[in-house]
Amino acid sequence: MKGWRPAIIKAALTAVCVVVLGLIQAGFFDRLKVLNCKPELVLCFVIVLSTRLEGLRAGLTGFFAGLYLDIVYGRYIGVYAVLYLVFCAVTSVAAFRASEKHKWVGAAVLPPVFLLYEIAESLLVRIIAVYVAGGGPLYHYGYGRHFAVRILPGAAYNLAAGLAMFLVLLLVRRIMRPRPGIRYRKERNVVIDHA
Amino acid sequence: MTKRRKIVFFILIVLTVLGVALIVISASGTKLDGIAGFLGSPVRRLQKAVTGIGDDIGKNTSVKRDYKGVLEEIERLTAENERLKQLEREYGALSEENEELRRLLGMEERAEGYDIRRASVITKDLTDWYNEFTIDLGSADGVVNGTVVVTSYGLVGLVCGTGKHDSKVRCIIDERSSLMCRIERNSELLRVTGTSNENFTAGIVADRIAKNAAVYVGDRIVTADSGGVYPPGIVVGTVVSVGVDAEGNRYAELSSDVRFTALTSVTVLIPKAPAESEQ
Repeated sequence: MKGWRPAIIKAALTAVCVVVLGLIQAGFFDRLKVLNCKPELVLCFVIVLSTRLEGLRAGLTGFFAGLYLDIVYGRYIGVYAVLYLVFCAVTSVAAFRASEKHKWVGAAVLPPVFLLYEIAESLLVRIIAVYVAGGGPLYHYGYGRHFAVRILPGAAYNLAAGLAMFLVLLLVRRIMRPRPGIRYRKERNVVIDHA
Repeated sequence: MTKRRKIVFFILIVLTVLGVALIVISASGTKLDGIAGFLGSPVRRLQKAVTGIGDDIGKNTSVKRDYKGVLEEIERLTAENERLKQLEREYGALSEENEELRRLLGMEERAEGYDIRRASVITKDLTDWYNEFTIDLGSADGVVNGTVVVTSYGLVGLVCGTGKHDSKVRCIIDERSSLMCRIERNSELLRVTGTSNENFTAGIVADRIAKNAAVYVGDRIVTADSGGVYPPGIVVGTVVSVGVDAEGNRYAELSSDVRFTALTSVTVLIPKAPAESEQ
């Protein structure tokens, strides 16, 4: 039972972060648009977190964060749940093991992940729009223009926010890293308890 | 592949399939909106408070910018000129307010049979893909799906999902929005739809224009009474260009005076109960 406690605390903390970032994004970031784009803070958070999570945990984190966004802010339930699940799992596969040896691997994975995410999000949203409308062109104004106007700025903004969060994550991990002295005392307590 | 990896892979696949199933059910128009409205309602209340703080900060920063501008004016102008400018500003604000009240009064006359309620915008679309926003009136206030939302500048859209204390509004610039309207000048019918938002270029287009109907740049387009969804005569937009599509049909691009991306409050036309409306 003791082993479950840290996992539950971590899950609760992640949930709180997702809710707070969602509130901040919807409350403040409409005014902070650059080239019509605003960063997806929740996406950045779960992707950055996934660089340090094992595959299943990353996927579950992404799925539930996306589902939360779908329920509270979205139009179609499941869109962001699926997108976040897939991209968190992919990020974890690409970065989790390598980042145990080299901490900056996580940051190196972010640019392709955010770019691919924007492409996939745009494609999925447009496919649903065409499906709901019962036909019509996937991209009315051509894909090249769409890529330049929407996908690239969105990915760049997300990357900036993601890198900032990555640095914060490194800092938090550094602060939270258990110190040898404390570990020694705990171990000694365990020995004393057993005695 | 180890057994553990297989299990992880299986769980992720199951969740993906579940997500895709949810998308299909949701896109088919099945009643998932009600569940989402119920589950999301507590967070939306919290969002209302956070958005309020955001609005206050926005106003404060704009006031600070104005103040800086005024200081520069003081350096350049004499005290007398400054006082006159202040008077002029006050006059401008008053006349703008007066104009808005007049427009609302006109709307009230047109919207007979409706309860007119003000609502604040709690949150907008998080990802900019959909032209929807959430307001702080819900089913407890009498708002139902299809309730009309306007501002003093014209039609905003329709309620497309309701929670107890909040509702989702779909703007007329959304791709899925479609309504019958009339040209105010000659009462000719046409259809007005939103355009795709794929490049942040939301707009309104009128099509299905009758062959003998005259449409000119500058014509005002207003809601028609067909279907009974919208009160007739609410301004939708003004024609800014007229063109012909690949199939030879005429279409007109419209411009609305409503600033859809900067809405902070709207007016909701809640249908009165039949007995109440007869009185």
